[in-house]
Amino acid sequence: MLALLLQEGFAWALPPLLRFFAGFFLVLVLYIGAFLFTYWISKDE
Amino acid sequence: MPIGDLNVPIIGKNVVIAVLVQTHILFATFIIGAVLIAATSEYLGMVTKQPRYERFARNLARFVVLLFASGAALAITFVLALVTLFPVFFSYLQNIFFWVFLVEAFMFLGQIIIVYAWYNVWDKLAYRKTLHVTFGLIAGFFGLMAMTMIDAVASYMLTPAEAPVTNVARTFLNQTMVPLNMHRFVGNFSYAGFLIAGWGAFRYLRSTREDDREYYDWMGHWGLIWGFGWLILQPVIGYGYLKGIRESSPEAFNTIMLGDKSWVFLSLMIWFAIMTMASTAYFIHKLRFAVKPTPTLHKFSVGALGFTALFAMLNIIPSDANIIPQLGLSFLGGEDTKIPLGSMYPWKYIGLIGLMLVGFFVLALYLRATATGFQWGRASRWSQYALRACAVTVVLTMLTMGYTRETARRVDDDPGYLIYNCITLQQELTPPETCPAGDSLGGGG
Repeated sequence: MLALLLQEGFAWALPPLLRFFAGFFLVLVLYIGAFLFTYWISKDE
Repeated sequence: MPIGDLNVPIIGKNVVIAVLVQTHILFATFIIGAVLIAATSEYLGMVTKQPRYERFARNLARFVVLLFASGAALAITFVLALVTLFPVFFSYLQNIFFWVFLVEAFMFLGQIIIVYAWYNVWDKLAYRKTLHVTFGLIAGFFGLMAMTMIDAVASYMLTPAEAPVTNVARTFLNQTMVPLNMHRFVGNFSYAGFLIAGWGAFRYLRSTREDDREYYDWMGHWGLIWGFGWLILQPVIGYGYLKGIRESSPEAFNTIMLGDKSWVFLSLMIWFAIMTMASTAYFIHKLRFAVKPTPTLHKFSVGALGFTALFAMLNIIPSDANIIPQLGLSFLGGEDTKIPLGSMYPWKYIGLIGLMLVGFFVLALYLRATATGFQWGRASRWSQYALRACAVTVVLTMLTMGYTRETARRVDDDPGYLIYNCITLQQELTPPETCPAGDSLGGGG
């Protein structure tokens, strides 16, 4: 799958609406993940 | 294009940039706001001798120091992605804003150094509190200056100045730079305040010790004062920003306020309504626990909640039946069917001004009760849910606003722009007569 994605000229993308929701989902994952990680490393002090 | 046009499969390169920048801004805004709130709290602890301010400031400072890593990592990743995926655009941007980016980098460096120093010398400067508070305020100042620099770039992308790009002052102080900066200055405090309130509520409901319950109950109240207190300035400042966009890029204004993307503004108003109503409901609840009974303030606040709901409704009524055309949500003839009370003038103006005035009124009532004190640790679960709703909603507000501003440059996607009317999304220069900066940026396609 990765080899397929990385091959030259492969630029297939989701339809715009799904890209919007994919972006929204990724922001939340990164945001919540980093906050939880920070909380986890700080709570034992 | 002189170099390869790289793309990202599945989500596309635009989404990659959007995700990295949005997430970075969510952290950066929190860090700037939290540093200034923590430094102010530390100062209040020094003046009032109430230990909860000191505990709060120190814990928040530690969290900010640890969170800095995530915010900074995202910023670096974003710049790397921009250089890789939009190399032509980035070289123009770097060329136009060389000094701005340079100052931004040094402000960022200054902020890191001072924030770390501020936290690390907390005990060492325990008897020189004024100096220590100054460290925190300087760190906040560096953060605000870094934000100011990047605001010049972001505002230029939407409203490029009608002057050659070599005119540094007009490029920097383009038409929407000052309103955007004011909007974000206020937003730092509001966003961080609501998140702090939400965190206080989360910990309050999990605390079993009496002193912890009292502390986290107070933290929710303290965060909400910052969150709501600054939020009620936003309708007027946000309107000033939109007015700047309307005057310089009317098509962009029409897209986000009246056109196919007006639902993003309505979403923003829904989030705003949730935050104002949840905050007012919390205030009403809290007044029951005032040390000195305040029945009159309580009655006034209940009335204010009614007016808040009324003005909020005015803001969220769509102007026509073409609600979300991208999803096919269009009824009864779409944009030809006008909805009563949905027009911008006068109803949305009345709604925005009304929300602000009622907000000031209810906050004044609450602060008056705060002066006599509250019985901490007795708040109900529902009041804490209201705080948590505010924290979730403020994140959605940030995401919606980011999307709104960036989508404003894609009026009909024919073409979409990276620098409005000057560089297209495909990184091609428009003819000089189209670009406000003329032949200093426009290159004849």
